[in-house]
Amino acid sequence: MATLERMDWYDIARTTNWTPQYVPEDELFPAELSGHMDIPMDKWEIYDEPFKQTFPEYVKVQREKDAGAYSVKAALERSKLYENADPGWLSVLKAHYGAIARGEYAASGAEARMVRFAKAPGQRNMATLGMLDEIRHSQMQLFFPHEYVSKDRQFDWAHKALDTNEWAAIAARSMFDDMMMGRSAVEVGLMLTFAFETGFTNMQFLGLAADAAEAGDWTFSSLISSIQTDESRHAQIGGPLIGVLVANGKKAEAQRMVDSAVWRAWKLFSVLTGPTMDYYTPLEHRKQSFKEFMQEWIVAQFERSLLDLGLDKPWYWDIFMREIEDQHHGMHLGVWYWRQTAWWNPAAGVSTAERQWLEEKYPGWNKTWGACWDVITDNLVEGRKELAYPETLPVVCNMCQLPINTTPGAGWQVRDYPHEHDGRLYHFCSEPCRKIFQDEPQRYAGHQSIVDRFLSGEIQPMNLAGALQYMGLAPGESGDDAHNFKWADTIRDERLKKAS
Amino acid sequence: MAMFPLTANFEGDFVLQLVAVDTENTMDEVAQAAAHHSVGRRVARRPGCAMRVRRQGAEQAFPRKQKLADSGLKPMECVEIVWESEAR
Amino acid sequence: MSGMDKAHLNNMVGPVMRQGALARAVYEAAELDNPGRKIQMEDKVAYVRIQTENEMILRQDTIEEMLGKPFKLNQLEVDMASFAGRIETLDDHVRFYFAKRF
Repeated sequence: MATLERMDWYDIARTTNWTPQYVPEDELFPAELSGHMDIPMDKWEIYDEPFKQTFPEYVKVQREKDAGAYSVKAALERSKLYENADPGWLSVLKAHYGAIARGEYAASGAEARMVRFAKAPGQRNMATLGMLDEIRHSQMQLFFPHEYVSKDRQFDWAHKALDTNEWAAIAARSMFDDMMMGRSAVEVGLMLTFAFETGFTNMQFLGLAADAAEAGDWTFSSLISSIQTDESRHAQIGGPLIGVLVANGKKAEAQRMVDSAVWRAWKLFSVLTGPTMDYYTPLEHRKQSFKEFMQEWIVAQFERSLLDLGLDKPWYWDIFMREIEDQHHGMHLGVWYWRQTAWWNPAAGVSTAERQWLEEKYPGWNKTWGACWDVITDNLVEGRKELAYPETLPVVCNMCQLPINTTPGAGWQVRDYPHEHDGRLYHFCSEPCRKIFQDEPQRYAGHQSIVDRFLSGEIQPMNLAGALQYMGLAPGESGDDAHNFKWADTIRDERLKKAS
Repeated sequence: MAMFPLTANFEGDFVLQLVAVDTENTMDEVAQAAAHHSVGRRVARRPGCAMRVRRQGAEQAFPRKQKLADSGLKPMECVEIVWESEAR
Repeated sequence: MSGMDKAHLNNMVGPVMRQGALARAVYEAAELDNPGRKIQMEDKVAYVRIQTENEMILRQDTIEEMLGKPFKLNQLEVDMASFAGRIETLDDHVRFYFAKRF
């Protein structure tokens, strides 16, 4: 029997904006959940999803994807990756799974909100597949690291990190909740699927897959790039929404949502992806620098598509371009210095050869970031290890929840971006983080950063032990230098050799 | 006497840090407290230099003997601790 | 700033494929389906970026022929991890394009 081609029936099957008979339209699509901004129902029907897939096709294709990823895992299970991998690479895996795996379930919830409350039928259609995609992502990213839990309890954080008050978990939750949990169908479409998924997930799921392949971790490379094939489809939910909003005089609103999501995603990726690419991944396996991946995926590809869809460059473009050069160096230095508060073991990544690479990729690194690492290195080489551990907390940003930091040394330009709201003094890392707060203070004002919690006495006793307990980090989980400072021993040997 | 937290931004360091001081502390003591968390950890020592405390963005440093209680600073306000050569 | 602030001023479109047989077939199909256009392939080990200026068409029949086994266009998704430009998915071909040119 001849079957119809997809395009012969797709449009008819998708025309589902029926006239409600039992409740008024406003009850069916409440403004706060739908985010429709009073754009009438028929105007949403011009939404035409660019990447079409039907449910039967979806099931077949997803089965094929799963078969691929799981068979790579099965084939390589005896390859002793855990035993043979560089400790820096294992830290990449731990940071990735902990920050991301459970967030995928939250993303499924956000997709489900679009399925129910989006006024555009095509958006509901695509989000149905997106909702299932995100369940797949969570389940795979909980299952794949599970084989390492018996070898290393930091891998337990793949599952539990987002249930804790560890600082990076707070930062990840703050960003993901803002994008996924507290947003309408339209906001999720623009902020999660468009800004985050067509933009930043490519960095973590494809850029990092390239490093993983170079490092010989084909299981991880295959897993995350397979996940990204789902994103590549459902991330297209946001694009046509921009068209609807622009056509109905809501460009400014669309621009603000995208600007806010791009910035918040950037800050989180500067602490998650930046250090893993430029410091934890062993030097010989680095496919490109983090900056080069940012240029490829975010600037050349994502920003280009943003302009094509009718939006403008974000107002903070120049600040963004500056931060791409160096924000992640500070995030890395902070994570390494406060490494006891992480669920992974950061690799310092500052051996002589690695510093040469950093200077080559980021001219001026030695005079700035290198100046801080010089003092740390001297302490380790000359036996003052206690000075390589902190005795206080960094002040964190009340938006991104990350340490407020930037260029040190000869280029010192660190500063606070303060703001007083209802008698409370807030601290921000940058103009964009402060502006996002000022645009919607009612959304953010109540949140307590880890430093606010410390000062209010919520963390007891008020010392490192109390802080680790509050963060849920037991002995054996709390991070330390990935290579147990061997890199400093090598530098000591180099210096002795030079002196003799 | 009361505990007084400040946000410290030490010249040459990369990050703002929480420093717990006391309303009775002088600005020199505030500088010392901030230095404890930066100098010799990520900022090289500068023999022959004094450390001065100023409100973020201010031209003038606070007088070295001024007490924190008399400075007008609010809890957690950001102060910069900058090097000054002793000769000046 | 190594051209970073201008990198978005480009017109490159096309799929980013996970490494494998389908990626090679797509590259070969891109050459056949887009006469007169120079097709670039950047190999990043885990993925390959297959691109050209302004517009790229990929036909189901051509990919099937290059792959040497039955292939439905929706299976492109199995290995298409990302793409540059906008996409249009039709029954027998997929198109990558930009509406504006720089």
